[in-house]
Parts: sequence; C-alpha cells; structure tokens
Amino acid sequence: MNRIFQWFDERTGLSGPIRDFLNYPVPKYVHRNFLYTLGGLTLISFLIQVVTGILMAFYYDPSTEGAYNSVDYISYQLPLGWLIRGVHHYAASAMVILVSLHMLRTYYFSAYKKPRELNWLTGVLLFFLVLSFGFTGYLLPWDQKGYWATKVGTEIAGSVPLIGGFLMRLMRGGDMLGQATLTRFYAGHILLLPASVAVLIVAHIFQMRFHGMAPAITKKAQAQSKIFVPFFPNWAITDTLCGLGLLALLVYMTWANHAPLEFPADPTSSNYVPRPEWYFLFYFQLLKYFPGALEPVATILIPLFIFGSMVLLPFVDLSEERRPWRKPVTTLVSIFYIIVIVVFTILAMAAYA
Amino acid sequence: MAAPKLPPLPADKGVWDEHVIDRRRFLEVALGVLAGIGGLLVAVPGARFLIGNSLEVSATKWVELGKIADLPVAAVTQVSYSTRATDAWREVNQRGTVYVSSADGGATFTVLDGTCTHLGCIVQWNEGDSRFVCPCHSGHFTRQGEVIDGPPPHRLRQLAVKVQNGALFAEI
Amino acid sequence: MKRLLFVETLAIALAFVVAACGAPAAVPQGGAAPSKPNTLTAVKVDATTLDAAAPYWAQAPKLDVSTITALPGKPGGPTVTIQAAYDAQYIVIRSEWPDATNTLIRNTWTWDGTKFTRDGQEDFISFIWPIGNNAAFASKGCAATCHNTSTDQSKWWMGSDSADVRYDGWFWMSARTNPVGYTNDIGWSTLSDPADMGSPRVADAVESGGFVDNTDGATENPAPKFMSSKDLKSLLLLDADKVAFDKTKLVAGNTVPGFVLSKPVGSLGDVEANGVWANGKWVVVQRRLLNTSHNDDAVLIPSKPTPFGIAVADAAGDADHKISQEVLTLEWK
Repeated sequence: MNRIFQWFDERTGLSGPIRDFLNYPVPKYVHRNFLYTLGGLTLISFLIQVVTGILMAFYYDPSTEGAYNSVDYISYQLPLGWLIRGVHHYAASAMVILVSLHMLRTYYFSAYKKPRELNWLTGVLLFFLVLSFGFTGYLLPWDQKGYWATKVGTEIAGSVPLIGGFLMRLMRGGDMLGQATLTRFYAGHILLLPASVAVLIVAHIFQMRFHGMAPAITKKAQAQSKIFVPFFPNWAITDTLCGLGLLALLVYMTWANHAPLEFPADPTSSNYVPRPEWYFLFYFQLLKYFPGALEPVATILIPLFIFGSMVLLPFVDLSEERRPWRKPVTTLVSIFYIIVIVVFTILAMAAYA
Repeated sequence: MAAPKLPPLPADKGVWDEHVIDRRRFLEVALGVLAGIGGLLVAVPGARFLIGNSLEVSATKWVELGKIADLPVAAVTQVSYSTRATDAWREVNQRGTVYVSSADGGATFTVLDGTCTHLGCIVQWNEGDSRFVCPCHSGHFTRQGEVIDGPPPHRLRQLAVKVQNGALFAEI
Repeated sequence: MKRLLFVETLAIALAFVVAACGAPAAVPQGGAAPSKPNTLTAVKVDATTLDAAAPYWAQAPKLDVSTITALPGKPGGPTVTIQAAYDAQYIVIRSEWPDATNTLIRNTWTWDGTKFTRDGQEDFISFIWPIGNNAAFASKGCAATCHNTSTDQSKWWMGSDSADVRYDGWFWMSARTNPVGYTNDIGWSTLSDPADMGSPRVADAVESGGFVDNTDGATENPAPKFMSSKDLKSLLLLDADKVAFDKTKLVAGNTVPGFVLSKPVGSLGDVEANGVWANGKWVVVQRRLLNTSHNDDAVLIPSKPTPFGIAVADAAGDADHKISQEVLTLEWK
C-alpha cells in the first residue's frame, strides 16, 4: 500500500499538502462545542445538493413544455426518484437554516473582527448566494407554486426605482415569464451559482485555516486554547457523524412527506394565491405594510439596510470586546432582526394556512 | 494515508491533547467506516436512480401502415409510419420506416423493418437489382430480407402483421 | 448570560425548523374529517370490493360535492357524497346522491296501438380524468375547461382543443350500463369544429359487448329489433335474453327497451360498477385497475394528487347535467 502512495506522491507531490490539511490543529474548545459543526454541516448540505442535483439533471427537461412532466417522471416513475428529489427539496431548506445558524454563531463569537473581516464578507456573499439557489431552484418544476412565486418575486425586483424595469426584464428574459426565464434560472442554478459558491467556499475555508479559529470567549474555553486535536481523524469524525445525522434526518423527512409537486403552471389562473418559499415569507409579509408610495422603503431601503449592515459590521464594530453579553448593541440588534423575521414568518403562515 | 505519528506543534503554540495519540488509530478506522457507510448510502441509490428505467423493454403495439387498397401488390413499398408514443416524460410522434411487399398478389403481406442489422442505417430498395442495399457499408438483402453479402450479421427483422377493417397493421 | 445565548440559539433553530415544516404542521388534523376543500382522500385497504357496505368505508373520508347546472337558467343539482379506497392494484370510488326515481328508461319504445314513439332519459354519473398532466384542467376543472365559463352555449367546447390534450371518462348509466355491472369507459377527444356540439366522446376500444341500440334501422317507421324472451314488461333487455321482435305480442301501452345490454370485453369495460337505488338515493360503487395499461385511460398513481371532475343527471339528457363547480383533487393516504 505504501509503495502505491509513494508512486503517486513522487508524481503529484501531494502528500505534503494533504498531510498539512489533515493534521490541521483544531483547538480543543472548538472540538468540545457543537456550535462549531454548523459551518461543516452547511458545506455537507451543499454537497448533498450537488450530488442530488447532478442526479436529477440526467432527467430534468428545462423547457416549458417538458419541465413539469420531467419532474413528474422523476417523482413518480423513476426508481427512488421521490427520494432523490425529496432529499434535494429538504436539504435546500436545511442549507438555509444551517447557513443562518452558522452566521449567527460567527456573529455572536465576534469572529468577524480583525483580521477576519474579509472572511466575514465572503460568508455574507455565500449567504446571499444560498438564497439565490433557493429562488432559482423553486421555478424549475414549472408548477403553480414555482411559477407564481417567481412571477411575484420578479415583480418585486421590478418595483425598484430607476433600474427596476431593467432588472425585471433581465431576470425574466423578457417582459413575461416564459421559456427564457426557465433556461436562465436553470443555467444560473446549475452552472453559475455552484461555480461561484464553490470558489467562495474554497476561499472561505482557506482564510479560516490561515487565520485559525477566532479567540475563545469564555474562561473555560480560553483555558483550553493551547490544547489541540488534529483535524483528521478527530474533527473529521465529528463532521462525518453530523453529516450522516443530517442525511438521516433528510431521508426521514422525505419518507414521511414526499417533496410536494403542485399542479402544472397555469398562467391564466385567477384564484391561485402565490407564496414564496418559507424563508422568504417574512419579507413577503413585510411588503404588505408598505403599500403605495411607501413601497420603495420595503423593496430598496430595507434590503439595502440589511445587506449594508452585514457588510459594514466588521468595519463598524472595532472594539476588542468579543463576549456578546458585554456587547449590548450588537446583541440586541441581532435579537431584533431575529424576532422580526420569526414574527413575520408566523404571521405570513397564519395568513395563508 | 496520514503519517503514523503526529508532528509536534511549535513550542510557542502549545501541545497536542494527551489523549489524541492513542485514540487516533481507532478514530481513523471509525472515520473510514462512517465515511464508507455515507458513501454507500449515496452511491447505491444514486446508481439505481441513474439506471432509472433504461433497462425496461418498451412494449410493442400495433401500428396502422395504410389501407390495403392503397398498397401496390407487386412492388416493394417503403412506408413511413408515425404513431403516438410515450418517450420518457413526453408524448411524441414515434416515426420509422418499414418495407411492405406481397409475394402472393395481396393475400398476405410481409413487413420488414428497414433498419440494417449491421449498425442501424436505413436500407434502400433497389428495384433494378431486386435487393435491399444499405448505404453505409453496402450490406445487401434479398426481397425477403435475407443477407446476401456485406457486413450485416442477421436478416432484416420481420414484423408480425394483421389486417383489420381493410387496413394493414404491423406490430412495432 | 452564556446559557441564555445558548438557549436562544436553540430556540431560533427550533423556530426555523417549525417554519420549515410550514402550514401543514400549523393546521390541526381532526379525526377522519378532511381538512382540505374539494379533496377526495383515498384510503389504503387490503382488498377493495364492489360492496357499498364494506367495512373500510367507515374509515374513508367523505367529500360532499355540490353540483351546479351546466345549462344556464336551470336549477342546481344534488350534493354528491364521494369516498375512495385503493389497494395494490385497484381503486374503488363510492358515490351517493339523492334521486327521487330509479330511472331505467332510455329511448324506450312505447307502442300506442298504431305506432311507436321513443323517449326517456336515464340517470347518470360521470367522472372525468385528464390523461397526463393538464395545467388548464388542474387549475379550473371541467366547469371552465369544457364549458368556457361563457353563458353562450354555442361557444362551448365540449371536448379538448388539442389532440395532445385528452381526457378519460367514466360514464355510469342507470339504464344502459348499471344493469350489467359496468361503467362505460370513454374518452373526450378534440373537437375539430367548435360549432359542432355533437359528441366528442369517443368510446374506448372494445372487442365485443356493450349496449346496442335496439332498432331495425328503418328510416320510416323504425321499430325495435329485439325483445325479451323472459319478461315482456321488463324495462331492461339483456343480450342473453333477446329474441327477434314480434309485434303480435304487443298491446297498446306496452314498452320495449331501447337498448340491448351486455358487459363489454376490452377497454370499454375497464370500470366495474355496482349501483343500487333505494329510498330516494343512488349508491354507486365503481372499481378499476389503477393502471389499465390502455393508452386511452388515465393512469392513477398512488401518492400523486390527481385532479378530476364529476357530473350527474336525473332522467335527463347529456346537456342538462349538473357539474362540480370547482376542480376536485384525488389524494392518497
């Protein structure tokens, strides 16, 4: 066995970098804390999406005539098709939840401070790309839910002052939702977005390893700051166990409740109530409170403010203090955001139940 | 794959946790097993899914080729048929070419699949030489579809026929 | 404070999970009552039968469909209560609706002493299933797809407007199919001429059997071709009982059935039926293979929600049928 490795190593020179990668020292306080698995779990859910997505791409038809029937074929006529599509459906929601929780953990542990500001920005970009994945993927079955959610979503983009009309036509590939919309959402979903996310993930992990984990916050953790476990196998096993657990959860959810497929898109239906995916519901509900002239507040100001606050965070919060209980402003602001999102999501669900 | 011993950390950084060294082997094996299980959990359903329905043999059906009255009895006639069929998730017009001839003046019909048995090109009927010729590699078949010469390994496939309501049907 | 943050993180995670589970988790499920409107939930049973009193019907949720008139200006129709069950191979649907009379006449011959007159319409219930995925039907049901929501009858399509859009119909008739235990399995095809309100209904392929018009086909003074060898007073004439028509056997006021009945062999007879009229109600149980492998039939796939529509008529012709106003959905439990 050793000789085979030597043969490869002589020709690739990879054993050094691989060994460094595997022996990366993980601080013991990280190893003991489940909150640090969230980043890895987000990556694992992304990998699950890549695998299930590639599998489905062997059968999906991105034409307006064929899309629904091909998804129907996958769901009801291909062996285990319901499982592949179901895992893809639930892992999409899981990825949104996990990336949000990971972001919150990073936020509370003040891991965005110098010298990790750029890593935080990479993460913010990744967060919005994950949401874009959800938005583009939702349309692909070309069923009532995806069609109308995209119709409304692109209308919202169209309500942005000055550039709105252009934005909407760019997203739709025209002034109506149609074939051009479907293929550009598909190309974005399987080519542009995965490539961008993959590159950003590599940059994200590289920066994390370069800087090491952010300094510990609690006294107990600080006491363990000088003790390490190797990434392989100690942390890798934690990652693998959590990943298998996630996969088991997704398979169970699929088995209990197959991924929904509503009736085929009918652009003329007058009584269908459009709804976005659950993680956009809070924003959908929020829009109701800004009618008429106030609309730009909700379509521009609020998204700009959220995005802006996330991007500027490392450059605004310059203090050395990392403990969240000593940082009332950042802590309370985050709690406010969370409460708003949760409350408006619940309001939206109640309105459409 | 990893080095049997962990390299020591730089002195100013710290030390490896004391338990790391002896649990390492166990954890390596356990990781391998878990990763293997995870891999199988993904690969086996994935492979089954990719194979999909591709191994299913499609059912045959009776396709109308035309009215008996319209078919010349002496000559070999090329007939292009079109029938509604299910192609994976789509309903399409399945098209094909067959050759219809009769040896007994219209009492019975022979329908031959026009697909050459060598590599799948459509053969052509040469009236002058009274033989089917394949344009790809010059395989030759008799009027009944038997191989005369050339690369084709088998005779042209003969389809079951029936006559119903004055029309000729072939089982395709 | 750390503990609070920890707890808060968990609470947020939980909130997201609840949100992810979405509306279905928020709506409380009560007993056997269906929680979604216009939804027929089929329950899985070990073996389905044509028995209207089978024990599994107690577990099958009921869907009450109120029917409206298809012809403007006419009164609405009865409320039809439907239930469904399925096993590994078959689906069985039980329909119950009020009907004052047990109608067994259809184009029945009446002899008044000198000549024949033919009249009489039967009761029927029909189910329409789109073949394949049909966006328009799934969204609007038969009230809009075939009837165009126009009040101008001449503008109605009574079929589909494209050869690729086909429908499977189960046409149960009290006089012509129920007596021999089946439902006419037909289809709706394209209507090449929308001005022609003639029937776009196409019977499924049949090898033998089915009801046959009991007429000698004469253009002037047509007469019945057959009569019953068993019971001259019966309104029903089975193919096995038929003998050549003999006018000498009739007196004024007698009737001769309008059709000769037999159970079809082939796709036309895919749907078995058992209909019983009692105490002002029809109870009709129909049973069919989930997948008949005939390409003129809709394939029913357990776990796949399927839209459908129904229509009933009480001793009336096809035009005066009462239809389900909204699209109905068959779901599976």
